[in-house]
Amino acid sequence: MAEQPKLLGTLPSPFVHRVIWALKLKAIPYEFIEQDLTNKSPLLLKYNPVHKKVPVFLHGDKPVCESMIIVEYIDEVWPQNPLLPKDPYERAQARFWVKFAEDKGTAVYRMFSSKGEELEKTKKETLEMLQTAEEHGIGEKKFFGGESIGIADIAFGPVVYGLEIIEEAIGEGAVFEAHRFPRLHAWIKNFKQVPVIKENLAERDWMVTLFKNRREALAGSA
Amino acid sequence: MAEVKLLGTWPSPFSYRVIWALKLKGIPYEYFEEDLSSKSPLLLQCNPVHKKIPVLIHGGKSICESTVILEYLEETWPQNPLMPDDPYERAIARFWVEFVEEKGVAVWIKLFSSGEEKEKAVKDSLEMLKTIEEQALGKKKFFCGDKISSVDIAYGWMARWLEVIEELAGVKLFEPQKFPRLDAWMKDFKDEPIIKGNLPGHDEMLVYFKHKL
Repeated sequence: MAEQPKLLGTLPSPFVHRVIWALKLKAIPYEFIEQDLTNKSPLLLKYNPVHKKVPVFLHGDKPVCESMIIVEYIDEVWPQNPLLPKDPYERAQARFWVKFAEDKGTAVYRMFSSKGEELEKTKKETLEMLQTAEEHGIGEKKFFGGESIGIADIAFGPVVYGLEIIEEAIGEGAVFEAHRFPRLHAWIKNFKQVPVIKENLAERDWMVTLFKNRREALAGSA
Repeated sequence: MAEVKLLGTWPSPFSYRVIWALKLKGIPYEYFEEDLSSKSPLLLQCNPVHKKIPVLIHGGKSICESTVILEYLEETWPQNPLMPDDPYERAIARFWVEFVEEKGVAVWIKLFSSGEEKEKAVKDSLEMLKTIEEQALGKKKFFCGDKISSVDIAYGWMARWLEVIEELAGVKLFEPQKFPRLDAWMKDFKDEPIIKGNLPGHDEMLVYFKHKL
């Protein structure tokens, strides 16, 4: 492939990070094109006309949208350091947990933009999601993918890392408590220590400040 | 080949997605009708996370979530392929499956609400139909080309369930002259022999859902 693939994204975005991790885990060189979501570029609107969101992955002139679909595409085109297992049943389990992270993980982001009764509701949803992931998802494994990280870890990574940041930014007590979720706590610790992840994680304090400011701005405009 | 079982309920469109895929690939299976008001021990054991149907059981191992089951069937039984060969085409197929899951399926329930919530649901549904009409189908007969694919299967609920939902919710969303490509697709989809022979009846569905509401 003559041309480097391109990634349209914004740095605080958890969804963009999923694609960065997949690319870095496979040592795929790419060009990152920072987007301004308050003033969407013609490039973004051209290549993601349906959702007008990041991330968008450009391979040649062909756009792929939606973070986990991009990750799966990358895994198929660049098979080194596979993110999905070979066995169809194991793949189905991985996909199940990716879907779970996608469907239920939104509670975390909704926590960020809610307050009062709505916040209590989204906190409860988040707790339910964590409980299920703790009991049924991670189990006794080091990672969702087993001994090394896989596609489900990439899906959950930003959900749980995002939660740690969001609960600090909200400052109304912890949701993700270690004594309640020992397995997930061990998992996120191991996840953040994987070299590629460690080097490509948005810095925590910076994110907390960013989210605190955004939350205040939201409250101000309500 | 280990045996295949399907836990489903009539007339769930999610159940039907799996039935269509199994039949299109010629995979023999045993069907178990579940009573969701009194869930079987088997269902609770095989889908402890969501406790929902459909569940596919293959050689004693269970796979849950209709779209995950479709991918599993495709990988385990490659005959009569339901996904394109090319990775990019597959990414596009997956995009449109996710689109209907997010925009279509999630909106159904809200059509049965009232006031502002219902109005928004109608608006969202119309936008969804417009996007599919203008961006998804193109000039193709089916979503991925000339043959039926997993994407068509994912959208299959629109070919029979949509009209029932409209009738029960008292809304009019789909008009053939407004959505000619979708109209043609619905007709072609229902004409496929396997689909034709495996669609729940309109009147029976009306009775069933009226009772539920």
